[in-house]
Amino acid sequence: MHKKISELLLRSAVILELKAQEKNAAIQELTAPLIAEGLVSDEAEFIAAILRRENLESTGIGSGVAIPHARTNAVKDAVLAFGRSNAGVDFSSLDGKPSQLIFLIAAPEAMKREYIWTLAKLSSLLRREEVRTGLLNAQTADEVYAVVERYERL
Amino acid sequence: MINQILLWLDNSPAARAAASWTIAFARSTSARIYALYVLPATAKSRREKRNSVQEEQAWQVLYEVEDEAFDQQVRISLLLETGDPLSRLTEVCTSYQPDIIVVSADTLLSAESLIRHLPKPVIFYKLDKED
Repeated sequence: MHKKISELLLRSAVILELKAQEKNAAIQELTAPLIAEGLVSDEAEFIAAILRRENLESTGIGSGVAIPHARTNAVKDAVLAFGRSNAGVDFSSLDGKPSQLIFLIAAPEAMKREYIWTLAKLSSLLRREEVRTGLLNAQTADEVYAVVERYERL
Repeated sequence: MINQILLWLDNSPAARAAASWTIAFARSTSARIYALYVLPATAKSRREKRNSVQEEQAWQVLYEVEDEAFDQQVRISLLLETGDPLSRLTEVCTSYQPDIIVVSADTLLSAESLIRHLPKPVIFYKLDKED
């Protein structure tokens, strides 16, 4: 049984106002809480793994959403971080739009099924306009959780 | 010279085998893949739950292919569209200008329609018994 998105989302990694204005800085900002919580054991390796993928493909899925992700042994357990940027960050989305909603997925190498499922579930959720609007309007971390919990049940 | 390949995906073993072949081919030619999955349009209010499950399955197929491409160091972009399959495929061809299109021979799309409507050469990948 897979964990829900709301169960994977780390509360201390919900950042409603990302300071970063470009991709690498946004990834670092979202990674910092995972390191603080001891979920990433090797920061340099984890960020390198994320950037290897970013250099090969766009993780901006369009409509102002990006899902940078990596599966590496620098991660101890599957976890999600969320950041929101009012100005948006360029994740080279195919639709050319900057990403305002950024979910970072980290998983250990061995958790391939969980990792793919999480990517699929999250991508599916974020294609819904009402989910994106809810996340853009959320005032607190609790409201972010409420939006995710409400729509992942459907 | 083949720089861009449009790969048609669905939730079938034949399409996954076609994806593996396409990734190997793209690696040998340093080409970029656009992986396209088209969901049929359905009435949203009546079938929201079913749509959600179908969409998650589609994304799973796309991300499994992305993961394989990443392992092979092949550049890939994922596209999930909704609507009439042939129309969406034709539109994506127009937008991304692939050099070739790869389709599983077992696809429900008619080979004749694909060849007639698509502006680029189409490769039909037939599932090998050993796949």
